[in-house]
Amino acid sequence: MEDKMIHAKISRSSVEDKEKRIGEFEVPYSKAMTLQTMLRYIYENLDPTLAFRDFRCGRGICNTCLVKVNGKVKRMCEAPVQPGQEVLLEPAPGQVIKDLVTQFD
Amino acid sequence: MDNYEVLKTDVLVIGGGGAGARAAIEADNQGVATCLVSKGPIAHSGLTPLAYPSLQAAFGVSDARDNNDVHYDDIIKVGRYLADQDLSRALADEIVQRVIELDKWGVSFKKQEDGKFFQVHHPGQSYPRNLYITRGGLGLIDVLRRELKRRPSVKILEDFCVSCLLTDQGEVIGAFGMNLVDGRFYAIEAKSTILACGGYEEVWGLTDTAPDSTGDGVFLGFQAGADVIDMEMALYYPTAFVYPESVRGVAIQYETLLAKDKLDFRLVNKTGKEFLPEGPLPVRDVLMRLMFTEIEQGRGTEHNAVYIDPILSSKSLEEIDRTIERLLKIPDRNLRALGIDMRKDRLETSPAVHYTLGGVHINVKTETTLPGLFAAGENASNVHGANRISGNALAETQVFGRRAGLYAVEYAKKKSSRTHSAREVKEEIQKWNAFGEKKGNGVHPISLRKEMKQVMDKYMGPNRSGEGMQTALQKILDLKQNGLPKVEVSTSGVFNVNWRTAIEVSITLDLAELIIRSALFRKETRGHHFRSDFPEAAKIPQHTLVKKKGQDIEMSYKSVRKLN
Repeated sequence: MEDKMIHAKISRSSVEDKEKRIGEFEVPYSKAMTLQTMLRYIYENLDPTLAFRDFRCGRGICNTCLVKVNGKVKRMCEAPVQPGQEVLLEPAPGQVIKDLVTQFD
Repeated sequence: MDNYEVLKTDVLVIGGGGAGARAAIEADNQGVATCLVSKGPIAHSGLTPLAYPSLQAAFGVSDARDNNDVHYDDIIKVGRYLADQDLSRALADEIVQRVIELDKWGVSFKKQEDGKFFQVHHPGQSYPRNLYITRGGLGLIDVLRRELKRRPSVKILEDFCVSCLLTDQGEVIGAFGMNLVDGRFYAIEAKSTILACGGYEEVWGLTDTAPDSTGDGVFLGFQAGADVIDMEMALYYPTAFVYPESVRGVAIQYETLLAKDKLDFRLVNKTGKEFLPEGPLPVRDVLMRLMFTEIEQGRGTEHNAVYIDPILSSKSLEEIDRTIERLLKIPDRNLRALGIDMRKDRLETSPAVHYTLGGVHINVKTETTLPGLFAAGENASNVHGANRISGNALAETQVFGRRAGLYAVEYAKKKSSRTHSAREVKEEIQKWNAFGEKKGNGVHPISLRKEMKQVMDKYMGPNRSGEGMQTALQKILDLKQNGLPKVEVSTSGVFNVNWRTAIEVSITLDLAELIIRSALFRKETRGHHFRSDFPEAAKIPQHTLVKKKGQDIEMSYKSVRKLN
């Protein structure tokens, strides 16, 4: 059977609790899904404690949703995901507040 | 969590968008202690960064007949005579000076070869008046942010969610909220307080604005007892994507997509049938109502949308390619990255809430009806009336942001330092902590938000009826009384998004009630408020007014301020 799930690993940490853990989530793929809509799905359906910045300009220029995707910094709003894909999300460089949220300077 | 920190300032600005940033700059220029709190990072949150590139100022470059008086007349006419005329006058009179200042600070306006401002015409303007900001609202707020950061004396707290104003015998003396960065509560004592937190688009389901536009500042003003007016007036943009989820709420220029001389794509319903009348593209409010009618009468898609169909276009593929390359390059790039090609794929679209005209009533000094409380930008009302011309929202942030800074300083200078009431703060902390009580089958705040948005979209779009709105009111009251107490979230830790969401849901439910009650109270059709049971405009335009009386909401009318 075709794999319709996305296998997401997400870095979980906070300024209070420096120890980094990896959270694993199985997310059902939906049409034209991006990393950002995938995170929204996780927050709404799987884990309400996940922290990320759900803001986007719709033009790919505000850089609010920058994260490290499989080691490479990308904008989540512009990064499509595919069914069956494995993806590792870590915070973009900078001071981490919680999970994928960093401090802007 | 019962502890909290206390901060002191002269002027407190709540909101880090165009109006809040401009207010804080002005307050700091006047040399008083200024603190700005913003629910998200400046230039990465709120309404301003997502604003379209238009800012309206009557430089008269494109047409020498244009001037402040014509700008003012256009506002009053397009606003269907519901604007407070002293506010519209101030906007038209001062924006030219504000733009010259922004230009100096480094905001990149499109210029002609001779160095003068490039101006274009948008509907509702007698002459071409819109300036074009490179990178849109983001291009504006980035520069204001830089100006703020150049002033180290301004204390900035980002990711700070204000949940109530602090009061002392009817006077506003600061605000209380949570700093998500350290997970702590703060009471901020201030000699004067400025509300600049934008509009309340997020009460509805489909918006082309930021997800954090939950009208916090309107709620804060109402709760503290300020006059709040014209809450029923919401402005729509005709074409935003509805599906897929990843582009939901992204607006696309309908003028380019649908105009016969541009792409000539067609609007069709779920059966593929065109539903616009023959002839030229209808004006915005007519177009929008035709789209809503199609959806409301069951001819929309499963996502409550209609299609933009490229296949029926009279243009050749080469012409379409050229037009997209020239006018829609960025949205095309973004869509194609997601596997969507507007040349051959039908796009699901619907009108989206774009701007809210109601808010905290101000006078020309940005004073609200409460001493110590000022308001500016979309948070305040009513500069525009029952409709707004493109380019006046960013303009409003600059004119009234500066005024708020100025007059809040004037007020603060006359006052001694303030002391908050511990009881008031304790009650507010209890409100936050109530979301953490174990409730058995605790409800996710998001599920309540979804239900509220469905109600608002179904009954509170621009096409309204008394009967439908009564149904909406009952449903919202039910969500407030029976849904909200079941919401359960974790109440510890830094950057607790879900706790903030619970507070936002509570705020938007209160605002939903105010919107519906105001809409029921406005027994006429005006601007974006169409009532099937009252299809005519009343002879004398009046503001609807909601005001807190104890635990009740008092409804009345308030006169529109006129100029001689």
